[in-house]
Amino acid sequence: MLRRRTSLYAVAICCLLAGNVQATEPAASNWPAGIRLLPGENERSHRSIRAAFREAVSHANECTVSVRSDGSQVALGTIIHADGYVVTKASELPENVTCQLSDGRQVAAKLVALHPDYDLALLKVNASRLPAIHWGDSSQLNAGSWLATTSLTEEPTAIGIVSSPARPLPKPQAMLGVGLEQFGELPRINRVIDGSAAANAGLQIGDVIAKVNGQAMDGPQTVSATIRNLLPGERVSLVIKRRGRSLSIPAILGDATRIGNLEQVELMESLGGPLSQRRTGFPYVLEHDTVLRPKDCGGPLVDLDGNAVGINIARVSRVSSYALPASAIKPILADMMAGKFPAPTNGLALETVSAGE
Amino acid sequence: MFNRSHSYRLLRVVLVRGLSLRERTLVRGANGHVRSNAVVLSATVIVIACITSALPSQAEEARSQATRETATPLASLLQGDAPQSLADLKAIQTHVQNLIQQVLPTTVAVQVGLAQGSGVIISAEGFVLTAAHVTGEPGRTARLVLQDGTVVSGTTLGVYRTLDAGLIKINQTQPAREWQYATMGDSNNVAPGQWCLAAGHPGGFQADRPPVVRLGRVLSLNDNSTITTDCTLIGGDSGGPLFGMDGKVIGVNSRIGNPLTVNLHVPVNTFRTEWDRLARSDSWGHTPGRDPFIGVQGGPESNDATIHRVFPGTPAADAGLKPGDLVLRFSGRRVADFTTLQSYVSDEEPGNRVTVVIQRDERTLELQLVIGARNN
Repeated sequence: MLRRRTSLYAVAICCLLAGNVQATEPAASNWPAGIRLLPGENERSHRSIRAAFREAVSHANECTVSVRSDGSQVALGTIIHADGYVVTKASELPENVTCQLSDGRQVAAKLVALHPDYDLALLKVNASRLPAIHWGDSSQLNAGSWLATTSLTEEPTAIGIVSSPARPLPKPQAMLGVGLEQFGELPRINRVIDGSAAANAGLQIGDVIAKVNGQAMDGPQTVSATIRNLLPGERVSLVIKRRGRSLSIPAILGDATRIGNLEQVELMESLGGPLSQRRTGFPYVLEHDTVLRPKDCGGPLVDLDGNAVGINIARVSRVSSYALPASAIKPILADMMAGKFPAPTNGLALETVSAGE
Repeated sequence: MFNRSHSYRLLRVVLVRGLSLRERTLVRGANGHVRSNAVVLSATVIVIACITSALPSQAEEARSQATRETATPLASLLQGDAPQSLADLKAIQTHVQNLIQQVLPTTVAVQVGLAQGSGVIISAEGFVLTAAHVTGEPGRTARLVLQDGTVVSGTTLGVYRTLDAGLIKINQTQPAREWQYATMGDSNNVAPGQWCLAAGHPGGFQADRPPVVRLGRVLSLNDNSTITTDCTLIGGDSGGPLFGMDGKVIGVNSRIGNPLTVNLHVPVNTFRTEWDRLARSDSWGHTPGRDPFIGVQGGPESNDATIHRVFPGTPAADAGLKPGDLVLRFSGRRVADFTTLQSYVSDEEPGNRVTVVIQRDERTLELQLVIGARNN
């Protein structure tokens, strides 16, 4: 069985440079997301090693919920208050979810608060006297500290270490990748950076950028101000004047902190497994090397004392996952419970379902 | 396979189809080619770990560690024995945290041209181990960022492309500085199961982010040419160190495969063995999977480097080589016979420009040739 499965995969060997980004055939990225091989005897995540974490996660796994939709898990959640308050990753939630508790109960859930910057959603479930998570001190957490991502069972879903202590994330900056000059009343391209969004979109030296997302441009400054307000990965529509013709050209913006094609960067980052849709723009993160699936986010990340030092918020790349550090989000969760970040009434309308379903 | 990528000199993907490391191991022969070897690794067998009690002598040792109530001695845990308890995990954690504090300052960010990678300082005078595909070639300027944010400049020395070993020397500063360094270990003593720690700057250097560490275990050793671990790596980690649990450098981050368990490191003994050539800025070998070629054939019985055949559309044809030309020098080196010519070509990297001196009739000509790549 094992042999048959493994032969499905093509093995791609890539050099590891940032900046000079690797291209690869799509076949190499078709990692079947649903299949997980059992870790081998010598692997860090082997069963015998995860088993040693049982004592550490014995309380936190009771405070972990599986947030589900249509019979399958979309995220994990963390019980933060005995009265049924569960925090989870907002952007993974479809309209209707239920929560499965560690005792097996499936209970209705209602969205009560939303914090878009941290991508946190607060759910209220129809249950009371629930075990609430014990928080740890994330500011005292050094690189190399063990971390366990809990599950609803006695063993953690995954384990890892702190790769880099908690830090603020720089705001991502979008880049089109052109040099511009004033040409009459319009901005004209005098340079196209290799591998940039502009190069990928086929922009050429001499092209005049007349409009960005429908907005008229009157010079280089207007273009950079417009791009600055967008995010890497966003699609912009450009109106280009080239040799007397007007062309409508879409472009996917690049990341100014990286050189090269964003698609290629992402392809390399996702080698080995799928990434969370929303994985940038968090104000503060704890970077760890736990291998998570996107649907493992939203649950507690605990230290060896069993205290939650963070909430997993994104699978970011092949090498890292982000957690929101406990010290950063505790005040925010309190605000969310106090009604400061009410859920939009027309947004994620979470339908109530009957308990025990 | 190399589509969209011609502008990136260092860009490379070797795709080994249908080959899984669980069933087969990637090994590299003396000629540097990656080939498949149908050796079944022991990792294929799923072993249910037996809970064994410690031997009496080990138990004694364990008791002597006053802070722990565990049965497993730290040394055997670090060699790969499964931790049995929370106390075992805490012992590993304390060891790893201390190790990181001690060795992380030796990990540096490396920028050479547009390429961003990592490196590790291994001597007080500032020799830095890195990957050949980070430095590219000898004599280039490298920008290094130390853990404390200090930026220093260095010069790239030798590159051994076949095994992806590169060396940088931090330029002399005024006044001369002694650099904090890590010691090179012995990669021959590395065994599957041992814990290890990879460091580097994944995604490139980021201000406010120290070198990023990943903890994993050694999974396999392939023919002394690579160490495979489950310390996950990505672009920007290239050239960064793989530390053993004694804090010594056992490898240098090099390449990855699709599965999270295929993270390949250059064994540190490669640097020991090839130290003299690396330090004197030799550049040799070629990137595995991309063979350099020029497109000529020698005469069946000739004992000099006379070209018998030039294949159309090849670098040799583009350079103007013709059947009957006698190659005298290739890239500055004297060519005695066709075999010598072949070995000189195989030391070049595709894309390199070389000067070829030939004799045609009574004239001596100098031709410029760009080495081509034959994918395999």
